[in-house]
Formats: sequence, structure tokens, C-alpha cells
Amino acid sequence: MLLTFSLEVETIKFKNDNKVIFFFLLPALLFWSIFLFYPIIRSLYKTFFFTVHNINPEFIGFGNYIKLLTDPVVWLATKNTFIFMIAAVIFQVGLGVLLAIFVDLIRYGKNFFRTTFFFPIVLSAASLGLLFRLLYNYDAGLLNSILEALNFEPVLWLDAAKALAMVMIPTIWQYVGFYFVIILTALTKIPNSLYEVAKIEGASTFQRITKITLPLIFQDIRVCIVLAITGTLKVFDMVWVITAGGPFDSSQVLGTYMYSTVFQRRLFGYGSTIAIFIIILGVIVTTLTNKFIGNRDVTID
Amino acid sequence: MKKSMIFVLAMLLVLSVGAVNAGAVELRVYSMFSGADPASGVYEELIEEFKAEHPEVKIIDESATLDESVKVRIENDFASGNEPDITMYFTDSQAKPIVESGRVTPLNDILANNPDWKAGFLPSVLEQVRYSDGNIYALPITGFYEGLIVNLDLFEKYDVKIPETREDLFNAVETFRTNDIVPMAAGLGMTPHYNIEHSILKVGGAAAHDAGIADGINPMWIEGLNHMKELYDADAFQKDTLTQDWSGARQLFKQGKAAMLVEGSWAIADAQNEGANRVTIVPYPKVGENGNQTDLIAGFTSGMYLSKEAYNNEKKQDVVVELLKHLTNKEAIKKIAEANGGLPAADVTPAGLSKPYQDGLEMFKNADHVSLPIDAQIQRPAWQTLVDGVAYIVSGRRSAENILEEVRKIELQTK
Repeated sequence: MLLTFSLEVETIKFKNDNKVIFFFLLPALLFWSIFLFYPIIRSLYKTFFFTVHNINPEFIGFGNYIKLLTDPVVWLATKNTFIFMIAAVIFQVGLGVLLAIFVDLIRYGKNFFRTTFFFPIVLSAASLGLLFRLLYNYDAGLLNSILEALNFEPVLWLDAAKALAMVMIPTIWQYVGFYFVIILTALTKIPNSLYEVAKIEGASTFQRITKITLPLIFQDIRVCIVLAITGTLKVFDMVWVITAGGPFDSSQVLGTYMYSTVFQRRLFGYGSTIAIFIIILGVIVTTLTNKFIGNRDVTID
Repeated sequence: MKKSMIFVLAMLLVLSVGAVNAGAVELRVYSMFSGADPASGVYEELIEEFKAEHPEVKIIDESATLDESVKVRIENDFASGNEPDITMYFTDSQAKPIVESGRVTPLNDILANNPDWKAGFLPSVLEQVRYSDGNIYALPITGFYEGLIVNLDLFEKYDVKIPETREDLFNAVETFRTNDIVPMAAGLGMTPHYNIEHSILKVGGAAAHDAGIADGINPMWIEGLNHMKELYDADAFQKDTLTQDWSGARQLFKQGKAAMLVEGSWAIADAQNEGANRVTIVPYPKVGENGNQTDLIAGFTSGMYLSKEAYNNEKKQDVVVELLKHLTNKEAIKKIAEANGGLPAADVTPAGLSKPYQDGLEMFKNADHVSLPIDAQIQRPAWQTLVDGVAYIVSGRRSAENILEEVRKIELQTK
């Protein structure tokens, strides 16, 4: 990557100038160092201390890591995060692909659907969360008001059995449009001639989708899946606003648990340990995803 | 063309920075009087007055509603040396990160040199905000009281007695439930703070409430927490209380859908809903043998801190002390107490208070004993563990003993 970049540069103006390359890379390097690498190293350092309120740290060796391994809430949150991940891949990416293919097939109104599906992403997760929190409210929420108007018993939407699903619904709904737009753009890259040939050969619409469309957008779907998986590891705001992880940690995800450990319990050392755990988990999951889905390139030839 | 533009812009930037710094003293102030706080208007007037009297001083008002994230920001500002010159913050156990950062000035000598200013404060109140090392670091303005806020319209409509005993309380719960009214609005899932305090105080009495947890688990704490479970089992709270916080609880009370609310004096204005609800505040009923009907959770747990750096800065010293005096003198305290209905830290009688606030002051005067909230006495990580444990206790998933053991463990580790 670096090599090709320097070669291209060379042909334009600068003769093999390492200084120029360094200069162009410097801002990004500084930015990542200050706002990413340094905080990660700081967090790693903090994991070896018992720190309340971020003052008077007391060295406790691997104490925080032992606590992490024996903390049932961490494992519950990890399990919930993985459930979230699977749901995100199936519903966010799956629905995104499905909707994109449908919209690509229609002749009129593409822009209308593009805008409509994309719209929720523009809204902030915190305000959407607040909206859904009001929808789910037992005594004054919209859902129960509708049920009561239809003479049904009101439902406790955010109980231990349903809370996780109830916070997943708005999160999935919000991001479907994002993957929809990526896939829709990918679809426009497929030359029409391929479809025309297929049509002449007598292929049905279903065959055209499975034999031409899906293989050709596989790379894009792969990117979407990786984005969905890494995005889920960061899920926080929607869950925090709607349930704050409750009741009984039933909707707790790693992001919310880390936040409440640091910002509510003020256990900075242990919170940093959870953060490091999330980073390690993220690296493992992304590596596995890339390995599992593979790098099968399909070209239009 | 481009180069000259950049040059001009750079010069403008340099000039503008220079203009701001020329001769002026800059003071950064943080207070909780912001946004929807009833005292924010009065506070802004006080700041404007000061600006008019001291045109050479530039005041940067960083006031914001004090939620958890702002608390952490302030703690980190003090930890990293980025603290405002004057900061309004807590004086209870939450003061630890502020005072122990070593960045606030002890005010004892400053007060001693200004006898008029010092005489404005009630001596007992200055005692309450004294830090455990014997110094006064913060000057109080108003205090608070907590209690049971009741919707008088609903109590009269269903002919329910305002509860004074355990029996009254459970009768009220039953009557309101049969009439489809939420008996008591609470956010047990996220903010059960006031319910925890009052349950323990009115089951076990002030001594048990103030016992802390480091020396052992007081059996009255177990009984107090179990009182909350009994209420939960009797359907006293709204159905989704385990995923709600104080704002959801207040909303329900505000809309007239709930009859009772355990909250503090700061919530009275909201509870009245601009006059739509007729409310009053009474002591939480006496629940157990050891409880005392008139005992209250009340006191002064916040004040204005002065940063050491500002005080030791020759250029700033006089004006920053002047500003602190301006915000905490007798007249300022009276004005703020009239605006927020809190207990004044000075010997003044706030005028023009509405009926519920008068009831509140009366309740405060009649109290046999006032305690500071539990979270003023135990460390933050332990308190939050107890708060998070309430949902587990009331639903019967974990016992009160089990949660309290965990709370004690973390309290001992923190100390």
C-alpha cells in the first residue's frame, strides 16, 4: 500500500521523497496516537490498579482480571453482545440486502425508498432511544395505549425476558438503511448487459438474483457483515437510554456495563479492564469473521 | 493570493487572542444553577450584578445541570488541574475526589478575616459542610429536605388518609390500586435512592440509618430493604419501575397518575406541574418499631469551593474572593432560597414561598432528628452497588443480606 502510494507520488512531482510521505502521514499518525493509542495504553496501565474516582491508585496486579473472570455480569453482557451481533448480521445486513434488491428491481420511486430507509440514521441514537422508551412505557406508553384501545391487557414490554429484544428492535431498525444504501450502490455497479444476456438465455428473476446479483455483491456484503459485527461491540447509547442494562442486567451489553462501572460506580481500574476485554474480543471476532467468510473475489469477466 | 490570505487570517487570530487577554482577569465558575433549576434565573442576575460592578473581570460561567457525566467531568477536572476558579459541588462523601486533589483552598482564615461575611452563615450549617480534616472548603447556599410528596387531589378524591404508619401506607396502596391509580411512583431500577434512605430510616431509626456499613451490616438495613420488597409485592409501584429512573417517576406523578412520590425539596416545583396538582410534602410514614414519625433526611451537602490556584494568583485573589462573597452573602442566600424553596444557609426567612414549600419548612422545623442521606456516608462504589441491587432484592432474585454483603465488601476495599 505504502509502496504503490510512493510510486504514484514519484510519477507526479516528488522524486522518491520520504520526507513528503512522512509529512502526509504525520497528521493521521498524530491523531491516532493521541486519541487512540495513548488512551488504550493508559487504559491498559490502569487495569493493574484499584482506582476509585480516578485518584489514589492502589496496585493490585491481576486483581481486576481475576474479578473480570468471576463477574457473572460480564459473561451475561458478553452473551447479550453476541446475541446482538447475530441479530445485527441477520436482520440489519439481511434486511438491507433484501430491501436493496427489491428496490433495485422497481422502475420508479427508487429515490423515495432510498431516503425513507436511510432517514433513521440521521437521527441520534439517544433521541431515538428516548422515543422508544416512551413507546414502551407501561402506564402512558403508545403501545399500551393502543392495546387498551383495542381492549387488550397492557403488556410489560421491558421485563427480563423481553428487554434485550426490545432494545435490539430500534437499533436494527436504525441501521438497516445504512446497509441498504451500501448494497444499493453496489448493485448499480453491475452492468445491465449481464442481466440482458441472462434474460435472453431464459433465466428467471430468482435465478438472476442468485446467480448474478448475489455473487457480484458478495464483497460488499462481506464489508457490511464486518461493519455490523464491529458496530455491535460498540452498542451503547440506545441500550443505555432505554433500559440502562436492566432489569437485572438482562439487557446489559459490554458497552453499558463498562460505562456504568466507570461513570456510576467510579471503578476506573475495573472499567478499564472491561474496555481492554472489549478490544481483545473485537480483534478476535473480526479476525475470525474475515477468516470464516474468506476473501473470495468474484470479477465480472 | 492564497498565501496572503493565510497570513491575514493568522494575524487576525493573533490579534483577537491578544485583545481578549489584555489586562482582563478571567474567572471560571461552575454552579448547579442551570437549565431547569429554579434558581438559575437568580444566579444569572447575581453574576450580571458582579459583572456590572467589576467591568475588568471576565466571567466564564460553566454552569450545567449536575448529572453523572458532569460529576465525572468535574472530578477529572480536579484530578488533572483544569478546575474552575469557583466550583459548586458536594460536601459529603462525594467531596473526597475534590478535596483530596489538593486543589481547593481551606476557607477558615478567609472567613475569619471577613467577620461580616462569616456571620451571615448559620453556625450549625457551617459545621455540616466541614470536611473530615476539620477544614471548611465550601460555603453552603441552600440545603434540602426529603419526604413523601403526596397528591392531595387524589387523596381527597378516594378518601385516603395521608399515611403516618405502616398500616396507613399499605391501606393507601390498596385503595389506590383498586382505583387504577399508581400508589407510589418510583424509579427502583435506576434511581431508588430516596426510597432506600427512607425505608431504612423509618424501619430502623436514625442511628441505624447513619451507621454506615463498614463496621458491619446493620440488621435494620436488611429490614428496611425488605420493606421495599413488601411494597413491591403489594403492587405499590408502577409496573415498569424496574426500568425507570426519577424522571419517569416524576412524569407519572406530574400527570396525576400516581398518588405518592418519595423525593426531595428540589422536586416540589415539578410535582406541582404548574399548579395542576395540589401537593404537599410530609415525612415518610413510620414503618418499624425503631422508626420515628418526624425524623427526616435533610441537610446541607453542597457548597462553593475556591480553587487554590486562583487564590494563590495575585492577579485573581481579590476578585475571586469578592465573587465568592457576592454569591454566598446573606442577601444572595435569601434570594436563591426564595427561588428554589431550599433551606437557607443563612439566618433569613425566605418570602413568598408557595404552600408546599411552607409545609416543607414546617416539617423541617418539627423534625426530632435530621440525617444526611446514606450516600453522604458511604463511598460511591458501595452506594451504587446497593442502588443496582434494589431491583434484585424487590423481585426476590437475591436477598437483601446477599446484596449488603457485596456492598460491604466494596466499601471496605474502597476505604
